[in-house]
Amino acid sequence: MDFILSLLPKIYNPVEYDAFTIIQIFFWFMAAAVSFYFSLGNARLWTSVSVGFFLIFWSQAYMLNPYAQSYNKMVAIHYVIGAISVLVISHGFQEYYVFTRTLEITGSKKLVYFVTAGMIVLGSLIITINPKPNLHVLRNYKIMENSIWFFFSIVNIYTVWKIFKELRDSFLASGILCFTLVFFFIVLWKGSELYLQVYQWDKDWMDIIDFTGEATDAVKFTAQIETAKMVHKYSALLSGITVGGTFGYLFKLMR
Amino acid sequence: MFLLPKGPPLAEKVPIAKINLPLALNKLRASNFTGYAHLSFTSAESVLLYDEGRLISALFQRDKGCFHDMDAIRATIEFMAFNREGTFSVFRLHADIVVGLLALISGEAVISSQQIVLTDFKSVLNKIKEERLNASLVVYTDVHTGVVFYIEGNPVGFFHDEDLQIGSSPVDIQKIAGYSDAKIDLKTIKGDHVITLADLNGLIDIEKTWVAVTNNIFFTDDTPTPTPVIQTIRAGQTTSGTANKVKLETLLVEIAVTHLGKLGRTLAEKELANIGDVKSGLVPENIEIFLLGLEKGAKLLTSSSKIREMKDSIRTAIAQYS
Repeated sequence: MDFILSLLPKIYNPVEYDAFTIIQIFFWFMAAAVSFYFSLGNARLWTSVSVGFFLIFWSQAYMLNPYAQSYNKMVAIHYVIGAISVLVISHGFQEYYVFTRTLEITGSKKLVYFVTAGMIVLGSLIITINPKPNLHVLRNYKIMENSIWFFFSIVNIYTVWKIFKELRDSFLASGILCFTLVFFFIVLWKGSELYLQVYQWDKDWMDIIDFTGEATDAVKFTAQIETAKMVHKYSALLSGITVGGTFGYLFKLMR
Repeated sequence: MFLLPKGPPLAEKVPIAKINLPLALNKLRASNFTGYAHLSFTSAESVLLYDEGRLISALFQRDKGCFHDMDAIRATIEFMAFNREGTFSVFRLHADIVVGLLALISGEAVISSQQIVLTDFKSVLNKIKEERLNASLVVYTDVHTGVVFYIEGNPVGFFHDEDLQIGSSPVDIQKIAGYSDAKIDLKTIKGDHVITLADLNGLIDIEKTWVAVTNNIFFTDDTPTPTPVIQTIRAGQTTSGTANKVKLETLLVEIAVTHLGKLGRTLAEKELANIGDVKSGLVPENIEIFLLGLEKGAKLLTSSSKIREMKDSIRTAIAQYS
């Protein structure tokens, strides 16, 4: 057994696991699977939503593997995948809104798959041909991912509300409205982490200054930091639960 | 005045002024009710017939005018908006009796006002039995009336004007048949007629019509005039093609709105425009193109089961106008 383990690549930085993350990842997978089911024989907007939720599942699930923190280029690529996921989900909801206004269903599903794959390949290529990201660079990628999620989730709340207004007396309206709750918790989840990152109170920054010896003012703002951490932890869980609940409810409505 | 059998009452002679019709009918629909609702006004009457929650037939009668199905529902709502005096009753009936009642109110007349003394009554009864008819046989004089319901040629219920409860004895009706001035009416429906009937709940938005009528005293329904559409067509396609086209177009849009909400209107109009016009829509290939287009958009608005219901209602409506 030891011999087999010695053949595996070395784990430089062990990954820390917590139950909330595992529960959340399960719900992302459920969202991806159910939205993929919706996309069968349906308009491609569900394909976009499905691909988006699958990518967020993938980028989060990757972080659970024992080597997740050991290979910086792979970590950076998964931050980029996380950012692409919300772009694709937003594309789906924007197409839904366009449908409610024009009742036109256009575009092919293949295009969604190819463009998404193309974006991932391009992002990976850029990371691969550039120097190995250090902890500063990785943190910057994470800030980029959180910023995109934060702002696009706000846009999505607005888009979903507009869709709901158009669909108000349709059978699926209440199910679609539930997405506002999902994106609300995502805003809190990503926003609270972004807040910590902007003020350099996040864990990654603390790890960096452990090496550099830089000073931090975190001690003076314990209340803010603890509040943000708590919001981050519980809103992550609630975003997972609401996404699971929303897709479960939509599944019931659409049958 | 209609002579209707009585079953266990869910409501009996409730003042119409107290009735919110869409709410009452929704309850009947939701509870899979089998039986009928009867609205009795001073100068008109209406019967709404239910089979397991499906509104399968309606009849509205005023003076000598008589409307069926959707026209009857619209006429009932319009009449009710201006005439709040009357009573509302709901009676539960066995499904077999509902089939008989359906024959009574909308069946095909095989024998009409024929004097028994001039009729071989036995051969009429044999015909019902041998041809396994679903039928209603009304035996009446100027004073008395009795009704027998048949399912597949077998009598399943008897009632008469002195006892409206469904009974199993033909004695009282035989007595009526014994009068010298007795006459008979025989009406029949096809065996699978009840199953294939469209649910009128899906063909007309009762709540919307109700709200429009009760909120606006100058309301005129843009789809139906009080012309009995289906009756007219059954009578021999006397309505002009253009009028039918407009009515069918409006009906299809109405069905889409009922099942999909307000976006159903635009979606149905867009798909109708795609196939040219409704006249060409009557071609089977165009009907399928229309339904496919409608279904594609409907998938983003409602459930699969509601889409199926909508398509069934549309097919039925098109068949009625073909």
